[in-house]
Parts: sequence; structure tokens; C-alpha cells
Amino acid sequence: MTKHMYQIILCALLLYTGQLCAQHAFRIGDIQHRITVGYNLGASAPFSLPNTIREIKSYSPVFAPSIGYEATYDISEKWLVGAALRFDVKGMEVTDSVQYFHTIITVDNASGDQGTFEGDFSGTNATTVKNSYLTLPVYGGYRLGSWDFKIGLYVARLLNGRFEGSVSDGYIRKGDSLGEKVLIDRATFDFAEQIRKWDWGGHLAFARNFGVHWQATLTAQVGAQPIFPSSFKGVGYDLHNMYVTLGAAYRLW
Amino acid sequence: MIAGLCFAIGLQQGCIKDAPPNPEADIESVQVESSQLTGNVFIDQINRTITLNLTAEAFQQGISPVLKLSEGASVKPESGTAIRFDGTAGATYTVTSASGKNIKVYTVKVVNVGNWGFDFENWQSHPTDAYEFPIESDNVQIWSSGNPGVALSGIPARRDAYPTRSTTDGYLGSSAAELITIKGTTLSEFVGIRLFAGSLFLGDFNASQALLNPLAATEFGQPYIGLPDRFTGYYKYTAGADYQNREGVVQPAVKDKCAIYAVLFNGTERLNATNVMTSDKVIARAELSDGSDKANFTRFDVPFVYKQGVNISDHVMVAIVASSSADGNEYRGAIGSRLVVDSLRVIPKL
Repeated sequence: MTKHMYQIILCALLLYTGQLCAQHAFRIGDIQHRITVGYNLGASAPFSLPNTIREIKSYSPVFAPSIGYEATYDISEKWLVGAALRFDVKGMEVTDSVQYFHTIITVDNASGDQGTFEGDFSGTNATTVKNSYLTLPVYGGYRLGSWDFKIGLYVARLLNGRFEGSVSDGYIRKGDSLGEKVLIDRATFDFAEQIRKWDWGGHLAFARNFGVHWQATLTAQVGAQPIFPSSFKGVGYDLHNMYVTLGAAYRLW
Repeated sequence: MIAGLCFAIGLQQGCIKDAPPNPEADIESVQVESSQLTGNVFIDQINRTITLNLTAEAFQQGISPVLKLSEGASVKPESGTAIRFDGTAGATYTVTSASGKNIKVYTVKVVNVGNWGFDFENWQSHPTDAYEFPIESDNVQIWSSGNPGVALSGIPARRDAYPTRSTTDGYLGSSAAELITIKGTTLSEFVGIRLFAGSLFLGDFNASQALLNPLAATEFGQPYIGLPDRFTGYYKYTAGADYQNREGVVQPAVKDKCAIYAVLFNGTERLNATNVMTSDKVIARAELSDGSDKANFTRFDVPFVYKQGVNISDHVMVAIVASSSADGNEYRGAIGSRLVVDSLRVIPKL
């Protein structure tokens, strides 16, 4: 559903800008160049919290900067198109209380044998996510007074992934909720190697112009695909990158 | 998307959904008059069995156990209902979770070790994890091992992937118990376990402690009538090549050895691997002194050595413990060490 929506928006955008471009002679000198800086705030989380999450005990953003370069082109007084190249850190630290959280962990043993551990965990979960990406957003925009609204898509390449944490003060039921209860004091996990190398999704931005050079920006990026492949079952639900970038842009020329 | 905003803006509690209905359907505890018991009640949550060690009187008259269930769960027959052991039908309890979706059936088994001779001829496999355990001719399980704990470490579900299993390489009959020290898994190394010794013991495995306190999970002992005199049996042993310490570092000067012993102690509470060596409940001990390599089946016959000045209560228990690495309880030993035991006997005092 969301996938189709993105496709429709993109098609409409291309069609429309194509028509506009036909009326308007493109001059490379009209491209506006900006550097952008910002701070990413958000979560790698399910779109809707499942009922197995009982309480968010604490949340804090990690040091998650965004630094980038943006090029936009005005195709009319009102309409613009643009693209950017950003270095983004997207991350969070969250401690939550979970109930019957399903996990399956595949274990590679030395002999080449594979085993699995599967169970339902109830207790406290603490997770730290800190992923750095090289992000390429492309978008169309509309200008209203000193405001710019931009909508488009982004694609991002994972540069470095971190997804680790611990489960504590609880129990796991082996297999599923019918299995035997095994008490847990504390156990750690590290799923960094399982994170997908690519992320893509929707890009929505608001910019307020202050004079010729400066913009204050608010950008939302929502990942359309989960950060883990469907073959990975360690986290029992689909986590999406959902981050808002609070930032500023400076026009170079 | 909504969840992302929940995190970002901090409206966290508003995003939390209603709790899922409780899917748990456990019998958490079974209370029986202590005067009717010769050993504490053990609930085998893995095999969904309630094992009872009853006095002869209680066995004849029946008992009325009081059950504690998972929150919101219901049980048939109800807690407090009298159950009788007249041989007409095996007593079972059917527990339904609060969610109504999960049903567990627990079987009540009365354990009575009448004949203290064990030949390890009959084995069963765990339905999903595939590890084996010996059972008696009346289908009652009185022996356990560390296998249920190893099953939590992501081991392949094959009988021979586990450290304790049956072998046809026995002394008498068609099979015996084979104990092999194996390498830990990636998951077990997270908790500092780099090897699993093969173990076999008379008693229960308490799964709830398997990760929290693995040594307390192995509960040793079965009720014993009278007093034992000697502990006999057959074994053979080959130590693995490289003895390693807890950190996994090979100790060239150390050779692995096996451990086989029996302990008499005051019940009705079982001892476990944390206190079987130190408890003041211990009355007597019979221990194989030579744990070195034996290429062929070798008979042992060791006396129970009674401690001076220990009171002997009405309800005593005997534990038998065997391990392919004597220091396996501290996760030290040599990978590949192999112990085979067969025809174990506890001979009573006349």
C-alpha cells in the first residue's frame, strides 16, 4: 500500500516537472547549492507499537548528526526540484518492558552445524541503535512565501551499523508461550551484522527561508522497508527507521 | 510512523496498547501435606510431569494436592480434588490459560525407586530438541542430565549433538549411557560457557534455573528406604586431548578425569551441584577415586563412607552423579572426553 503510494507520488512528480521543464529553459547557473547540518531524532521502531511492548521506561537520542549538501533548481516561481547527499547517523537508546516478545536466534557452530534458539521473552529490554548512512534524497517542492515544502524519496547505504543491547530481570519461555519458563538475570545481544545494507523510504521537508542564505529545516524520513531482512527473526517485529532532522541550511551560491 | 512520533515527542504512554491476555498455562506449584511425602514435589515443566515421592500410606489413600496456576488460568480437575492411585487411570491435570488459547496437560507420576539397579536400556527423546534421557521400565523418568540446559544454547536438534546420550557400546544389554564433553556454542560463550561436560544424575532438571544459576538447575537425589552400603558399576573412560580452563585456555600440564559418585543425604529437599559437596545434610559418600583413562569396561565397587555424628532423618535420599569432566561444573575439562557408564547398583546394608 505505502509502496504504491510512493510510486504514484513519484510518477506525478516526474510528469509534472517534465512538463514544466519543457516550458522553461534549463540553465545550470540557476542551481542553488546549500550545505546542511542537522540532528536526527526518532526511532528504529515498528510503525505501530505491538501489544507485547508494555512500557517505554526510557528513551534518549544518541549523538546523531546529519551533514550534507543539497542542490535545488527552481522550475518556476512556485515549483522546484532537488537532490541531496547526506551523511546521517540514525539512532536511539531505549529501555522498555516487554511481554511475550518472540525471538529466534540462529547459532552457527564451529562444525558448520546450525542450531536455533527460539522463545518468548518477558522482562526488561535495553537496545542501542546507532547506524550511519549515506543518504540520497530526491524531491519536488512547492514554495509559499518564505516557506518551502518538499516531498520525495530517499535511498540510503549503510556505512556502519550498531544494534545491540541486553535483556534482563525476566524470563524466556522456550519455543513459545507454552514452553518452560527459564529465568534470566541478564543476557546480551548484538545484531549489527544482520542490518540491511540499504534503506529507502519517504522524504518530507519543511524549510523556512531567512534572508538569501539561511534556512531552518525540518525533515522527516520514514523507511519503507524494515531495517532487518525478513529472514532474520531475532526481533519479533519489523523495525523501520523513522527520524526527524532538525537542521539548518546555508546557501553557498 | 505513529510509533516514531511517540518516541520522538515523548508521548510514550499514549501509544501503549492494552496488554495481551495471559497465554501462560503453568502449574507453578503443587502443595501436598509434607507428612505424605518422602521427597519434595518436582514439577518437570519440560515434560509437563508432576513427580511425587509418596509414603506408602499416602499412595494407598490418595492425596489432595493444592495447585498454584499462572495468573488467570483454570485447571481440571480443580485444585484440592482428591486423586487416587488405584491403577485405573493415570491422573492428569488440564490447564487452560487466561487467553483461552493455550492448554497444557500435566501428568501425575508417582516415583518409587524400588530396585536400585540401573542398566540404561530404555531411552526417550525430547520431541523437539531431540536430546535423549533414560527412562525406567514403567516409563518413569528418574535420571536427568545437563541436556535440557544445553538445549537452550542453540545446539542442533540431533541426539548426538548433545553431551549425554545412549550408546550401543555398553557392558551389558543393548545400551549404556555415553557422556561426552563438547564445545560450547556462540550463545553459551556469551555467558562464559565454553564447554559442556556430559552429565548424568539421579534427580531432576529444574529448567527455570538453567540460565540464572545452571548449577542449581541440576537437582540430585531420589528417596531411599534403609541405608546403602556400597555403590558398584562398570565404566570406561578416555580423556580428551586438551584440558582447558574456564577462559578456554589450554592447560598442557593438566589431564581431564571423570567423576562418578553417590551421596546419601537427609531429605526431603534435593541437593544440587552448588551444595552436593558441602551440605551438612550429607550423611555418607561413595566415590570412584580413580578417574583416569580406562580403555575397556572396568568394574568399580566403592563403599559408602559415613560421616561421624550426623543425624539420620526419617526421609533420606540417594543421588548418583557421573560426569565426563570432573571439573565440568566449573566449565573446565577437555573437549572430547568420553565416559560410558552401565549397570550401576546401590547395594543396601543388610
